[in-house]
Amino acid sequence: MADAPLIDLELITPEATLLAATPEMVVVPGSEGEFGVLRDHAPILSALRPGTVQVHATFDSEPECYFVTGGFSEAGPEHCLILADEAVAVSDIDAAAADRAVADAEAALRDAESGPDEAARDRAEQALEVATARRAAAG
Amino acid sequence: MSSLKELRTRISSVRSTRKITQAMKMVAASKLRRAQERAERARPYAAGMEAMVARLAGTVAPEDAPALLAGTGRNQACLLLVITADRGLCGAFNSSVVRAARRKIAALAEDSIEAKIFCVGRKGYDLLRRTHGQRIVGHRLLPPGRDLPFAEAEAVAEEILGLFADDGFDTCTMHYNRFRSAMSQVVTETQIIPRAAPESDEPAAEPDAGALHEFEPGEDELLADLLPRNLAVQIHGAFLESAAGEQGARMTAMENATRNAGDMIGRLELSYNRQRQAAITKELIEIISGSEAL
Repeated sequence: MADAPLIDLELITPEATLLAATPEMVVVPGSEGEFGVLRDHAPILSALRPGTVQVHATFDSEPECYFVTGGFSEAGPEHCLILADEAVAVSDIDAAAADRAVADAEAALRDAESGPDEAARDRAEQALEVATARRAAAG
Repeated sequence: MSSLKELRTRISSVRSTRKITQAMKMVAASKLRRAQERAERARPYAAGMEAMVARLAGTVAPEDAPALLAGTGRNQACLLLVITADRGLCGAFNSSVVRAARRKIAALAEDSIEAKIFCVGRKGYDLLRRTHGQRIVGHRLLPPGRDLPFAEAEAVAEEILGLFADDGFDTCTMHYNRFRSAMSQVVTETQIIPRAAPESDEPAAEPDAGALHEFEPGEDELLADLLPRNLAVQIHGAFLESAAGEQGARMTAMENATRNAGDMIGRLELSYNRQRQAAITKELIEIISGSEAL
């Protein structure tokens, strides 16, 4: 395409700007479901669930994937801003460590379930969700 | 007048002090660079978060805004989040924050508002504990090492939110040193609960030409997620500013100390040489008068 309709994408974590690029399409793991952002997307503000952000430089290219643990995203006609709690390139995930994290999180949840502390249980559930999503992203 | 030997020991001790302060200055300078970079890297996130909150805050009707946004409607207790360093030897860095906090407490007391304190950093805690010990509701040391992970700010935010949820206070202000340049840090007071619109330079162009956003999930849920997050982001920002400021202050303080040590060495050497000269002259006079007597 001569002038491909690009969007300004920024993927930012509290510690650093991880990615600033102008792809043609981004797929964002919104809390209510994944959504793709192309140019002229209606303005949207969405929370994120643990999952992968797929950055398609062109529509038919293999996506570059980033795992995010959660956060928020704002998209408009020309830009897409992703504020991730934590983010890492999928290629950098250590699959073995991800497996271990899932096992640990499962064990922690089992411990928390027998305990009386409801907040601890919620936290353990969330941690397991993140760990599972990370393993899925790596696998 | 001290003896020659005493002067010699004095000089060599001041020399080694100067070496130490010089080394500390250099360490602070390199840490400062790193701290500054980190503070800069964190800024885009904070700015993005602030923009999102501002956008959301504009859409929520004031009467159903959550307490973090609109306040509790009371003003009986105020929590001061005092951010200082864990270590000293950095000039007035810690004491100026503490002084600002004390002034604030005195001002609150005049309006009969109860002040509570949450300290981050050992120095502030040590200084405030003596005079305002009964007001301190919590304190936390900074993690050792160079990094100030975001999780640390989150933990502080969580504790503060816990207190807020228990009606521990109605407003919360943050006192810290903002980094302006290596030479100057500005003691800053920022209100973080309820959220205060940042005093930006550009006029509030935010209403944003009717850009109607879709919200997923709803506005209320998003706000309930975003506001605590934003609090942690603001606290983290203050941590990073304070860390950069600390290194800047230490660098300046150590530079002054090095210069003072140099001046002192000069003075001591002058008096050492004078005394040495006097001793030689005295000996010569003794020899000459001895030989003349013969």
